[in-house]
Amino acid sequence: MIKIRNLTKSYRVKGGRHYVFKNVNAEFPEGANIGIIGPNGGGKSTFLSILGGIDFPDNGEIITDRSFSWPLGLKGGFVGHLSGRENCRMVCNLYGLGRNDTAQKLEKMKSLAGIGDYFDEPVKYYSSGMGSRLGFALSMSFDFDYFLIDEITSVGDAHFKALARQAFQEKARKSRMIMVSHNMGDIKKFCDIVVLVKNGQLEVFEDMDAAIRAYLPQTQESTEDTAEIMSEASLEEIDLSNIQLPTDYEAMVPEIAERLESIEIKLTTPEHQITRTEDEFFFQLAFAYQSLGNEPRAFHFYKKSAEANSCHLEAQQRLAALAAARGLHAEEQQALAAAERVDPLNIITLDAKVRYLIRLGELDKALEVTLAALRVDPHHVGFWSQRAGIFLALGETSKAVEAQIKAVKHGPDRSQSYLRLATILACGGDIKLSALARHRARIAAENTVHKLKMPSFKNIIKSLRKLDDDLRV
Amino acid sequence: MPATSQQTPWKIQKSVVYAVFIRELNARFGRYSIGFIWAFLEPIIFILTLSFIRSRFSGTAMAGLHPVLFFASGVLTFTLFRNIITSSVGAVESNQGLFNYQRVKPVDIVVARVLLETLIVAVTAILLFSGFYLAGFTFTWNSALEVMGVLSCLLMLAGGLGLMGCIAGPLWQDSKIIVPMLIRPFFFISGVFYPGNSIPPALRDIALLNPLLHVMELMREAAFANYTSHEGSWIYLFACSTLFFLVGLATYRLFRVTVVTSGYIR
Repeated sequence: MIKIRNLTKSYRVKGGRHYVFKNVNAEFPEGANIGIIGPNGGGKSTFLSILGGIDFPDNGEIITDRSFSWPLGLKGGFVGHLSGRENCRMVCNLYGLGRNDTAQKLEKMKSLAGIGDYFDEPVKYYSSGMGSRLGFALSMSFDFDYFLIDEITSVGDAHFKALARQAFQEKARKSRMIMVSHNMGDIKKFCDIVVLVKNGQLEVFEDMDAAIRAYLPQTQESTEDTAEIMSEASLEEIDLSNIQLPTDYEAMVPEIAERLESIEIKLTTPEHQITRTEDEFFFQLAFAYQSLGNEPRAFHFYKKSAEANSCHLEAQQRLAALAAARGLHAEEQQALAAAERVDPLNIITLDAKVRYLIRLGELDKALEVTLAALRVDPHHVGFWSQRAGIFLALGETSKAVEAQIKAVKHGPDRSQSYLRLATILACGGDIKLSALARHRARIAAENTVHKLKMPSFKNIIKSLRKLDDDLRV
Repeated sequence: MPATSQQTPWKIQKSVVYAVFIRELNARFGRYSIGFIWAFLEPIIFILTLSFIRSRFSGTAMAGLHPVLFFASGVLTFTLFRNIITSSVGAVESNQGLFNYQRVKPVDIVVARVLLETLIVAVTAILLFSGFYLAGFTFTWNSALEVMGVLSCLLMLAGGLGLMGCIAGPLWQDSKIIVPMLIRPFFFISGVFYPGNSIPPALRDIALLNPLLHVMELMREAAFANYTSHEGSWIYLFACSTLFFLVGLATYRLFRVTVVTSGYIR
């Protein structure tokens, strides 16, 4: 039983309080997997933290006799300079496991996380995907009545998702989950009831589609928003001159090139049999080439990876992108189709498909795909932008403006969005607003420049070394 | 796997303090840290510097003790007091990630840090005094039991202040600067580098209001049989320590939820 009584939670903000929840009462039915949806900043994560007992309301209480896991999110609560194993051991210590139990659990976690030898590397070297895999494996090794999951299914590849689903099915006899997600596909797949967190209230839906309909943004957007967004424009000047690139860039290129050559020779010797598991080898190789800017080689090896395992989602997606860049329509279509078979609701695949359809000139179909994609993730800036572009091409300027404003709202830090808005407004003849949008674009551009990050060559070298070692065996 | 909800509070507390202690140990003395050497070296360098300066002026004994022994006992005791409080002030914020696990509470981190600081000072003391012994600075040991008694009072005093510090840290941003500033004068007024009986009689009554001076006096009296200054009062120290400890516990009890609740901090 989970009962929420008079829950009130507020945050101190400049000049007052912002109420996330105000006198919320609700009851969740027994034994259901619960999906939590709602707009950004609506209090989904706060709600999860309160359920998990790591955050506390101003007033009211949650009445329950169930145990909850810690909220399992992207950040993971790991200590960066400790290895995955040490972090996991600490949590075992926290939960009072003996030496033998801990050793046993650590082995289980290692195999479930599927990050191989990285388990013994400091967590700060992990990619975000690896971090959340480890977090997932860690919490799955403990018994709770409810697992609290915050957006974690949005990362990770198809293989990991399959593993996650399997782990949950094993747990399903005893445990349920409460999951926050923007991804309606995941919500539909995993959950029995949906809780909509919006405007300080919780609304429980047993009918999935009704919940999604209640949540999805109305396509009619008031044009007042244009003025509202534009009025925020400030008139400061920008300076783009002091951009700094990481210094490790050039020094590491020779070692990477050397590693690549060595791996390539090993992989292409006649006595070397290509097996299904080698998709990852080829993928890493291709990825390294792509980081170096050698697109033809990258294309070649992505293709090999996709051939070795047609279910390698990321290889297919990158293959499609590179094919598009080189104008190879047939290859692109093939890769897209394969990617769609692996996961029909994947955002990156859908994005690539829209681009493909636009290039073919099939604007109506492209519009449909963007709509489907926005149903999965209503906050995706790219799809709103693309819709705007398509509307503009179709000559429907006002609809284009609406869509682009959505894009700007969901990603206020992206200068591209403002730039497009400026263009669209200029096409619509609103020169004054267009100028303002262009100004905002410059401000956003300057802000992103400071956050600019190049791919870390140290990590690439690391993964190549590992590949090289693995092949020697 | 034991059902996590069916453990006794005592068992939970023990597990958590142990886990946090190991984590702090790792963080402080981990692979990539020179903190290991520094933690021991800092008080030692300080003691040697003080002794060197003193030897320039006069080489006589201080209240019956060789200056090196005198400074070593004073500096180590003061280091323990200072480190417990300053590390408690940062306890909540430097461990935000740990509060992701519902069973970790701020007090666990304070307890783990008190244990760790005590361990570090104890190891330094053993190293240092063994070194002195080998170097020929001998002394007559008085009473181990009394040393434990003073140490307990010191831990209660510093622990109580530490509990207040762990509350003040997150709720009041400036406390990280203010608290070390407040502690610094105590280095000069607590008899770290002078015996209690050398304080002018006119000032002595006021100076003896400071419980840390009692800690210093009683600690040297308890450790060294030939210490000749007897200004410390057990009753006053015990009363003060208990008071600070209780006030610390009460402060913690009042604000323990607030410090880990989002929306109050910042």
